[in-house]
Amino acid sequence: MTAGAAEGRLKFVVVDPVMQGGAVAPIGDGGKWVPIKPATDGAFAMAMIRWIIENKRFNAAYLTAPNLKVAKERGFNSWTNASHLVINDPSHPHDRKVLRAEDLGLPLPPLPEPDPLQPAGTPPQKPDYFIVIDKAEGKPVIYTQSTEGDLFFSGEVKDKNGKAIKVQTGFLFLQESAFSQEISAYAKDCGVPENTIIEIAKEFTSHGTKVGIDGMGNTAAANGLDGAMAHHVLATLVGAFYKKGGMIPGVGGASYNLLMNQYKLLGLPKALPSQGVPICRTGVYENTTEYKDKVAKGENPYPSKLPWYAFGTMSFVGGNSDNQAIYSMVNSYPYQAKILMVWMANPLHSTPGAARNEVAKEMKNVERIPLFIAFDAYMGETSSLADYIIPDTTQYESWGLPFIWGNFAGKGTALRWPVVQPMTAKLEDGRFACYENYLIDVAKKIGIPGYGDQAIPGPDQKMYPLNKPEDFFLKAVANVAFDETPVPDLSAGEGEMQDLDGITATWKNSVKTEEWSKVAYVLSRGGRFESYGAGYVGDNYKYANSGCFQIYTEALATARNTITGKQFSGVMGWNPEAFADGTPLRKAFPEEQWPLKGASYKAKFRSATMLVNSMLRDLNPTNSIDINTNDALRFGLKNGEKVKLISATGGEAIGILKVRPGVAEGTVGVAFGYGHWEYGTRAHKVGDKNVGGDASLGTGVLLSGISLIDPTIKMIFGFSEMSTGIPSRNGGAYRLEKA
Amino acid sequence: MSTEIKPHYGMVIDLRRCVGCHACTAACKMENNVPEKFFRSWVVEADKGNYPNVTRVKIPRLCNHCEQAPCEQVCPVKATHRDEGGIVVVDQKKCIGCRYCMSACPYDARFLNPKKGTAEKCDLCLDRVKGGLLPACVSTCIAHARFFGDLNDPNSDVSRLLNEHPAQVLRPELGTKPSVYYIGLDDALAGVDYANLVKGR
Repeated sequence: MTAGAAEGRLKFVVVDPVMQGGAVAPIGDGGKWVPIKPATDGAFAMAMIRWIIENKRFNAAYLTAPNLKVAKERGFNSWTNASHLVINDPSHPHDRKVLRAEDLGLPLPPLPEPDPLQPAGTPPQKPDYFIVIDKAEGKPVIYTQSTEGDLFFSGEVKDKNGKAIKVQTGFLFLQESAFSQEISAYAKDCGVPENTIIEIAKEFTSHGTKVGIDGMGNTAAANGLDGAMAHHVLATLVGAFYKKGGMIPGVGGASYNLLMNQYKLLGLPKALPSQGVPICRTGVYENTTEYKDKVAKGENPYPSKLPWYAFGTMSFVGGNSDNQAIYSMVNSYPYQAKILMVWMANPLHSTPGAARNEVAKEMKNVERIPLFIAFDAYMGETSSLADYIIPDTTQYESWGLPFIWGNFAGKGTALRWPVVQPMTAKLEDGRFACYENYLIDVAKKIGIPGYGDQAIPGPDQKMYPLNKPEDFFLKAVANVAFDETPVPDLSAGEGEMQDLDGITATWKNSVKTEEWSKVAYVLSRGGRFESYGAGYVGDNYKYANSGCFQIYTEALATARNTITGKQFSGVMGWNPEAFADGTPLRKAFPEEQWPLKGASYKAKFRSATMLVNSMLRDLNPTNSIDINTNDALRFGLKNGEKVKLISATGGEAIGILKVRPGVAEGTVGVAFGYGHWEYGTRAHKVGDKNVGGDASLGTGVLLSGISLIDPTIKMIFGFSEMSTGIPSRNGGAYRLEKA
Repeated sequence: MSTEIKPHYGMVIDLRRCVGCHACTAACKMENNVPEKFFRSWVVEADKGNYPNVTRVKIPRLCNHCEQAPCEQVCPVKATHRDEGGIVVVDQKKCIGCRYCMSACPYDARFLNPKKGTAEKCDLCLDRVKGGLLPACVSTCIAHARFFGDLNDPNSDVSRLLNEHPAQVLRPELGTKPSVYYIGLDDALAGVDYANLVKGR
């Protein structure tokens, strides 16, 4: 990006409460920092959306294409439901749902051919026949049979009995949402000047599909869904998805198939299906016995005791929420966690609001969690509360096939293999203690299928063993090596140059002899990667998903806040932070008394895997409490002095104040990864050895330790977004005083 | 008869590309086993401008390998001397730890190794260079902001860049003639207090 900006090929803005300064430099005019108040991304984006709609700067050719085929004919590489009709009729049983052919009694097209990937006999999944008002015919048509949808239709359609149903397009719902507030009011709410927002909206809509918008930490707020939706809604308004110079969504990118090909690592014979309700409450409250019992007794089923996230089951963030699992476990709701296993994670430290004594106490309480096993290479804050700690391997001692994220448009699968012998205990059979070996040994002991000598189905229908980590990971590597056109064999010279033979001698029996030279090829390259630029055919990303980019999200519109019982909006909106019962944060904690919102950002070279390295620790030995120069003047505080950061719902942290113009007004920025009380900070005895006790490892402030809890929930519960369970890592209400 | 021109190793740092990730700092520490709390290569950063029009200055720093090196002139035992390509190095066997060089260096590039008691600084990864490799900071730079090469060779990356872009050195008024050039340094430093930048890391 900096190279592109330097060469005048691109422009960018960084909208962030804290200027990290990576790409924003004082040289040239390619990049600009736009300070914004934490947890107000929704206001910023809705102002852009309002301006784009009012000034007709959206890409009409894209938005009116009712299906992928038409969109492709028009030069796009994705499609949207902007023109699809939505039932806007409280008297209709399908109110808030997207209108379907069945609602109108329209004749249905023949069912598609059965999916060849599904087992024989599986009934084909019935498609959804959504409806648009066809521009040419002026009447409702199944979206696949139309070539242009009316983007602005609002009115009535008739069902098969001639009864009127009130409908309007999803796009109109978005327009109504955007028009609910003036741009000047949005500007005031997010702290970004109106003309800056308009300038950005104009620039964003001046380059066809060659624009992108993305974010990460901004989505971790009690209204973080606004921030997450802002990315895809804005990109959809210009049709930028899957176009070169536009956007490739999804963190995974395209990867080789590591679960099939040579060895079947998924869907093992006799494997037990996963079942039950996730303890993190990413499920449908209305299906629970709690709900049904209340309804049976004639009671109002709302509120639930803790929030449930029906939409969370659909969304990436909430699909499985470790943050919410913590609050469920310490409250024994919706059920008691009988056995807690924590691997490569430190949710007590990282979950906003959780790093407090009340939570730690309940994590230790055997009435809450009878058995707690941690797998950790370090004595982490969470692991320190466990009944048993199984020593685990670090990234240098272990296997992994991580996603390549979105850094590269081509197909790729990365591979991490042990470059050193683990420092954990050596087992009698020569293996080393680690998470994988624990799982294998326990599974064999209690007779779980898919482990042991007859575990994994191979290419010749014979079963192959899973007795050690490489039995699993090298089979995955073989799958990658043999996917599509298999990789070449590793040349003898290359193997010798990298000394692969010596390192891999004990691994070779984990795959078939004839597979080895291709497995070694992937090992030698740290994975398998398509060549640079191979991800595109012309201007189109070749691994594009055929799914619809939703302007109107039915799954969200039909889910409820299980505390208030109210349904969510199906389109993006500006939702100022509010507690679970709907009380606005600023009503409970007015800005006059709590003038700051938190922004949690990442320091360089600071993570659990780097903390152990004293050289890397040296780069950022501690953090600070960062505020804007004007705020410091207002509060009468000076750079470098000791201050106390106080949270509106209790909790305080003492740290050193850093005053800089690179933090937005009304923001307190705190880098994450500090304020440890374990990870070597506290002394422990392992056998007869004393370890840890280095206080320098625990310097600095931990914002998530004082992040807000929700005072409107009776149980201890971190302030969270109500449709997905996203925790309030940013935002909240704080004040500062001299310490 | 053509006389062969001796190489003059130097570095060009394109500040337009630097993202302040400090990977160079980390790579240098690992490569050279730099003692804790000290740095041979580091990045200075500062906010610049008045709110809300603020940008971030990032300047990777290292020994400038000056042609007129004050450190070399003050060393009483000639421990500081020139190696291949004019690289300024400290002979660890000769150094007596008198710190004259440290006070003479206007760039804060040197420190006293607390274990060895001798002066230490960037040597452009001389061992790597002699082995045909690039300095560790150059190899590791994720933004391709650092370039190393022979300033006397008109076809080298560094010469080509200096031909194509205006570049500056740190504190030219001192007449030290640094061998480390920055593209965009004037823009980066305009309105910034230089003294605040060199002291931190």
